[in-house]
Amino acid sequence: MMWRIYIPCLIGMALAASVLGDTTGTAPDWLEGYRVRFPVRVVSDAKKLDAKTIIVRIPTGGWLKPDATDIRVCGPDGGIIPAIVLAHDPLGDTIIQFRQESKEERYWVYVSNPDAPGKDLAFEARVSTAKEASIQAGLLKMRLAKVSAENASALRDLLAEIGKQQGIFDQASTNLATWQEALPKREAEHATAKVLVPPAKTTLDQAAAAHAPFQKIADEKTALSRAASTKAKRAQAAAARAAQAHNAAIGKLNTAQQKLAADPAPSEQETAELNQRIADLKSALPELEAVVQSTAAAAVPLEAEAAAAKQVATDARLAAAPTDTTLKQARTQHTQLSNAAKQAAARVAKAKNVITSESKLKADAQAALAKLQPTLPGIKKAATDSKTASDNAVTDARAKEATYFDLAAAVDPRLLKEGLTVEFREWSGDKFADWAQVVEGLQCSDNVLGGAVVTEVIQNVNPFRRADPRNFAASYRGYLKVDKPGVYSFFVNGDDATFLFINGYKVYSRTGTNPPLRGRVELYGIGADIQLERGVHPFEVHHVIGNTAEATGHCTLMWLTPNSKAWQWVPRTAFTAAHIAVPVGVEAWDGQPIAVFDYGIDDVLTVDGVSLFLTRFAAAASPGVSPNVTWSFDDGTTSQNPSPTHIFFKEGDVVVTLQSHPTLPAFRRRCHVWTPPVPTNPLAIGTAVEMLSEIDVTQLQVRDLNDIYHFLRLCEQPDRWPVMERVCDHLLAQPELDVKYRALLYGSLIEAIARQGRGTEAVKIFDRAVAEIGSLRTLDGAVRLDTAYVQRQVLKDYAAAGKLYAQVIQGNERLRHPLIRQAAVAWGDMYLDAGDLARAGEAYRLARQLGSIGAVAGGKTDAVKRGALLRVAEQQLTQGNIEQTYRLLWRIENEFPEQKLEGLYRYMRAESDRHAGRYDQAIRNYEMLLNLRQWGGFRPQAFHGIADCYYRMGDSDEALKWLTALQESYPNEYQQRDLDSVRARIETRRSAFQQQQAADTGGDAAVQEIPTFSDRHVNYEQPDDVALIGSQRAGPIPALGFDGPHVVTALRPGFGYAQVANVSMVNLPPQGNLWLEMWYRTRGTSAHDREMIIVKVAGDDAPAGVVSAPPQRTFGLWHKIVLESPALNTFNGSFAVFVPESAGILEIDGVRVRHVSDRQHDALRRFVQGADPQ
Amino acid sequence: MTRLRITSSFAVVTLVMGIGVAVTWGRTIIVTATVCDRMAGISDIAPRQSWALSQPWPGIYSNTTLTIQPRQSFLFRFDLGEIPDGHRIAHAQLTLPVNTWSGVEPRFYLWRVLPDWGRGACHLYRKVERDRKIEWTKPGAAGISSDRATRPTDIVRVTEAGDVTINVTEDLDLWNTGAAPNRGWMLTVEDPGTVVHLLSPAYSAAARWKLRVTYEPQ
Amino acid sequence: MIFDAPHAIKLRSWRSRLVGLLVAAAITVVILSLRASAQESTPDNPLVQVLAPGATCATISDRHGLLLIGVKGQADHHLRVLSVDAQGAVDFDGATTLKLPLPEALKNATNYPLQVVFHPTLDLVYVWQDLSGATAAQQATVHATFDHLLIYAIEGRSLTLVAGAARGEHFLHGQAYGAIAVDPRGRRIFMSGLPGDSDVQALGYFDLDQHGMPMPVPTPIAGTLDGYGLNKHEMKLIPHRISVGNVQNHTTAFGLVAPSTDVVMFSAYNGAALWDTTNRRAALGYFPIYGAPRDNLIGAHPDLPVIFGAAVGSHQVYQMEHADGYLSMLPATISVAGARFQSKPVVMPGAPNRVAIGGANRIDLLPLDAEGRFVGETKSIAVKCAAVRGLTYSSKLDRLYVAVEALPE
Repeated sequence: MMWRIYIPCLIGMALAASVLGDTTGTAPDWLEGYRVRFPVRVVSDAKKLDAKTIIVRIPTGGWLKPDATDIRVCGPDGGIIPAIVLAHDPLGDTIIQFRQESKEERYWVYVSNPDAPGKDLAFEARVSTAKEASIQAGLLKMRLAKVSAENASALRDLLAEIGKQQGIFDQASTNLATWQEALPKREAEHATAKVLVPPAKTTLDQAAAAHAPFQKIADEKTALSRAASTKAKRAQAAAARAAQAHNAAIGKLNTAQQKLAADPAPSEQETAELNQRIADLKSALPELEAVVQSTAAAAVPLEAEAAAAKQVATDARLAAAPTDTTLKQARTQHTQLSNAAKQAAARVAKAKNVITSESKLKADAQAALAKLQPTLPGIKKAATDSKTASDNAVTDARAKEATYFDLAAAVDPRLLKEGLTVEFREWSGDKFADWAQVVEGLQCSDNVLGGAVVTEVIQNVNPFRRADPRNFAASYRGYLKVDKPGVYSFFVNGDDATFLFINGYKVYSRTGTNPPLRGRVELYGIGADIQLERGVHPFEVHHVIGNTAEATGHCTLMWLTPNSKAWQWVPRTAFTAAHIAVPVGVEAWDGQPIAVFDYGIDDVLTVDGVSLFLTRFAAAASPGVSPNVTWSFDDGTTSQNPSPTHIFFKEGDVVVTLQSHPTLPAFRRRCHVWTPPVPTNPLAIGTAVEMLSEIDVTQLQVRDLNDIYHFLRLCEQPDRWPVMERVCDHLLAQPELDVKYRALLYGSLIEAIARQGRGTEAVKIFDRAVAEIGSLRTLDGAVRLDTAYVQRQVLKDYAAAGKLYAQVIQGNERLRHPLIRQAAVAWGDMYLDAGDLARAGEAYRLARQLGSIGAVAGGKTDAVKRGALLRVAEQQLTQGNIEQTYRLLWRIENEFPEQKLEGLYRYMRAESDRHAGRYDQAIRNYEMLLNLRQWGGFRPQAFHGIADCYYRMGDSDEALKWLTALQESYPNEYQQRDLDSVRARIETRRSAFQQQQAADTGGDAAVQEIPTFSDRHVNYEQPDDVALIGSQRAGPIPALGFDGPHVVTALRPGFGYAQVANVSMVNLPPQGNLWLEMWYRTRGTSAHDREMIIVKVAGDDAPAGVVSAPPQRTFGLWHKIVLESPALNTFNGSFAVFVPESAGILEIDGVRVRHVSDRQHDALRRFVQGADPQ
Repeated sequence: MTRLRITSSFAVVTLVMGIGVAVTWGRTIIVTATVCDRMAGISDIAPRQSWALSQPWPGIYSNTTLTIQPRQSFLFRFDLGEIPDGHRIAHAQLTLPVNTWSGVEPRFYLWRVLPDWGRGACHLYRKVERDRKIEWTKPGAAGISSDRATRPTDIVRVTEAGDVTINVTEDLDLWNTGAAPNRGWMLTVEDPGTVVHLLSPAYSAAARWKLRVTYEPQ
Repeated sequence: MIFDAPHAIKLRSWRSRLVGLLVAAAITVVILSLRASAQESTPDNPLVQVLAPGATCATISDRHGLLLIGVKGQADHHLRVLSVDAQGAVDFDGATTLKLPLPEALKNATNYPLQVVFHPTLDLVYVWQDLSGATAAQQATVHATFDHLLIYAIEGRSLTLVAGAARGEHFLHGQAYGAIAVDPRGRRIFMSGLPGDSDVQALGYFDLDQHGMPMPVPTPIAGTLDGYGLNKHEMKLIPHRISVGNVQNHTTAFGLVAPSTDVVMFSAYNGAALWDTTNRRAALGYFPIYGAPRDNLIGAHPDLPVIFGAAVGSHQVYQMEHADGYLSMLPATISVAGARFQSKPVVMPGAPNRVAIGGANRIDLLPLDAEGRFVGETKSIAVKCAAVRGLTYSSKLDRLYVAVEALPE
């Protein structure tokens, strides 16, 4: 593996030397009786954090007493520094805290001393009594603080009420004053208005009296004129009527005369009638005339009389006019004045009732004040008294704390109130309906799952049992820094039961089974208030989840600071933090090399219910030390590999031990096997086969061997045959196996031996198998079919294969079993490979009559089904989902084998093989397609397919040859598919390859072979790796890392990104994609969701593609992050890794990028499909 | 590509084949789930209740429908007394009534059960509850080649509701010849997030679970 | 008698089916001839009739040689105590009757026993009684004074009341049916007749101490929170309970069988159900039998893990296997022509193996095979009792005791 150093980075080199080299320093001599020690170094930034204590997490792994009382810490001068154990997991890590000795950064932690002295009980008794007193004082302080808070709020409410009433009172009195002042003015107005009314009334009466007679006369006269005019009218009407009658008579006469003289002479009778009528009329005329004259004459005098009367009437009215106007004026005057008087009266009335209401208000307010006022002094006194009592209690508590502090300062660093840790236990209590039951449950939950240093109380998982977020209890212990004294509200949101204690006083509790509150949370409905004075308050959060199916492991501490309007998470800055230190090595007292180890889940391969958990173990020792180690993996298998990848078959906890020192007990650690939410790396199948070939399979249980056999059958890895042979041999030796299982084992054994070149031995196994299972038709057929496949594909003995196929089919014609049909189909395939299309067609037709394959749903006719399958397959191919296409092609091959001779099937087979990365098979299928004369239409596609396959295999010349062939024979197809761009890409790639070659070999003749890029690994152990770090803000530190003793971390926690790796890649294959994996661990840090680990992947000219993923809170465990980057079409490329600085101590190790070809992706996809990919 | 030498004459095979098909005197019988002499459910929700295969009301589990999902499967055994001795199996198919499902074209597996799961409750961790407490090699009888056959008898992809027919000739052949003891079948689902509901033979649909066997004299 | 038990009928190929028919015809001819002569009591007719009109329940203890019959509707004669000699004969004249305690304030109401159970190991008898006829106003006094569960100590032939329990608003009263069951090790007593949420019924249990007395549980006293958030507790006798609304409504019959401390089986609406007190996620299991009996009373086989359920007022009986109380599949259902069952099935192991079910003026004996499955012909014996509910069997004496309203002449 040749590494290219492309960016000489002097700064990085200097940095590397300074950091790598300084772990030696002067070590103190050994502490009496102790056999293992860990040199420890402070890594948190001393300038930014003025903490006085140091917290460190030491992998003790069973080297301590169960209660971890024998752990000791020494400074560089060898003096013992008192340390307190914060969390101790007998099968994992121990977290301790101790005081920092005058800015010293290097310490030594001693473990493993079975006969260490126990506790100094007398001293501890004294300390505990002082502590008890201080706690009780603290409790009293909190109780009194609660009482004073309540009194203060009562006083506040009372004063608010008094203020309100006083406001009402004042407002009412001012209103009253203004209105009372306005009242007399209004009354005066009313009086004046009222006075004016009577005289107006009298003038009105006088005017009326004066006007009355005239009015009377005028009325009489008008009445008379009205009567006269009616008489005249009546007469006129009579005259008119008479005239009308006269005219009518004349009219009748005329018509009669006309009728008489009419053209068609009327009959005699008519003429007689007419003459009679004429005569009558003539006689009546004079009478009528007389009446007309008489009535006209009568009318004349009446008219004159009427006119005269009318004149008299008008004169009379005129006479009455002046008095009429004076009367009207008087009347209007009178109404105006009376209205004015009324309004004035109304204003007076309004003023009056406003006054009454205001005075009532005033009276009520006064009464209320009278009632409240007397209580004020009492409440005020109570408030002040409780305030003073609370203050006294505070001072008393401080005094008691001081005495306890002086007494215990030497022993208990927690008195310095720094650092926030969490401990997870398996919950084996029963109920959590209240705190007493939880305490009882915690006392019997002694299985510690693990502990961690954290910077805030935000948890959404059980980090030590990620597969099952139920039945666990988390206990957070830390210190709240309160700057602004006042009333705070606290609320612990989470699954099931949560409790918050401040200064030992239970402030908030939520009991029983509850889901966490989601979405908007109403402001005052939840949470509990407590008054906190300025200073540092010790707090504990206890969170319990029972056997609740839908629990997720959620627990967050939220608060409402004084007069803020929204619940927030208690921020990192509100907790006091201690310095973080890391163990930089591990030493044995006799100087022999010694190692501890850590673990992480690499990959999980799951198929048909079988799960293989590839777990990566890494032995970690001091830099420069490489002990030989012996692992034992809790399932009976062992290994000597320094960093093995072991395979487990079930989720859950296993205890793994590492023996690295001749006499010391082995280092033990409980490892949790689970399925991490990261995509499976296609190369994991290869790793799994590698690991299986290393271990002695006969040690494993039969149950695990069954799973391994199932995995080996499906994994399609070329180097699996030796392991397969060993597994099959061992299994076949087992008693009472299922007979079908034995048949399958024989088939696999035969193939395994044949693949390793031992053909004759394989045939002997076949005879043994047939002898054993011959009597069962179906199993016998299965073994023969497998052997025929081996004969045909491996041993190339076609005659034997043909004989076996015949034997399977003969005699079983009526056995409608898929096996018989598969035999005929395989026989046809053999002929097809040999190019004998006629015989192949015959065999396929024979296959159609034999048994059916697979589940038959619904009874569609064959022709319809075949057509449908072909169409759907073509459609899926064009849409690009290769998996569906393969599944449909598989069904076509089995149900309609004769299709294999058709061009369309062959083309689809070739295209799907090309997409799946099986380039050799694709090329063979394209060539077979070219041989089929009648399917000429597919020839251009075949040419293009072959060219693309050669290009992807890296054979540029061959690809160009086929492209030119295509251009000559099918120019329009060439234009249509725009193959010039493909040609250009191939040529640029070839020239870049030649350029690179010239550069490497200085232009001399010997052509040096450039390896295609496949893998690049950085573990910060070699100076080259350190040189790849671009910035001073990150650097390698020795920290018992995961891939060698050094890890890289951001040195100065701030707000930005530090580059931790910048690596180049040469001769990138033009297909597949890049898988970048790195191991990371958060130690005493928390990563908010916004912070991401970013990787920039760039080609020569292609812009940088960025892929990123958020690091999880790992609580001190190693996790793997996987980033998948699409293929770069360029020849060279590079990738750079950036980690967020604000995440604090985020350790990165084992950065690795690998190229995964399409073929390997396809192998994983087929593997996951399982035994039968229907 | 070397020219193949094929010794055995292909023609002979087709000739024999022809005669075989013409003369057939096999008998066909159909039995329903009423002749099942053992049934049991495996469910991680109620590990010790044998038939807790559906949840009609929250917290109450019942047998009214048959829900197959990861960590919940169903075992059933047909009593093969009807097949007379001295006969061999020519063809056998099992018909199951699929009702509804979730997921797109989900697959369910039919496995042949290997160990004896006895009388009484059979649940996630144990085969037999009443006489002796015997563990599965893996919870839910998931041990391939130890609790269940190495390869599934068939994997059925569900596309439409209704009866699904599965070719079980090989299992019947093994049971009939006594090469493997008849311990019935197991229905499971292996793809995460998939649920298939069948009509329950333990409640109303015993008649729709049909096993059609064609046998012929030896 | 129509049998559709799956194991009785086999499908044969047509030739062997013809042979089967001939054989069956022959057998029936033989049976018919036999039955004609079976009217009078033959030695294998183990019935002993005891005069106890209005009997609601009966139980016998071979260890004490005592037969107890609970009676309803007879003022002050609630529990008839009869001793049984070695040959199984009942000493009628030595019989005594017991009056179940009724508080003074509830004199206007009537109390009656619903079930009597002997403690498996100690000399104790548990009687479950109920009260009907109390006015709405007396509700409070009933809750304050009336005990549903009475515990009697056995000295020789007499019973003395030792303790009363199951008092308060946690218990319904005025039920037609009620049941109690003590688990084989005497650690827990299950009870029916508790109020569920939204007026359906619930099941409950008390844990029993080594003297067979129900143990009170610590209950927090409201409002006594101290600084540390700890309540003061008081010991109160409150049952653990679960509502079984969806599976059983409160008007129906009830039967309880407790094969182990953790699980109790009870009769459900149209099948059987169980309460698993250890599984919080799946507490209730319900196994309806398709097209099967409505409300039913269940009884257990003393030796085999099998239960039998007889539909009240109907003619259907089912049989089902279980494992430690967890019901398993494949129940068998038969119907007995002309039967209208009233009592719970009482299994009479012995040669031959039978289960007896009281009905209307008759008792039906259904034969069983060694596995506890129905096989063969049902035999019914006429008795003078409108609804036979007092029915019990002594395995030592191989006698079936039944409480009847009138003795045969």
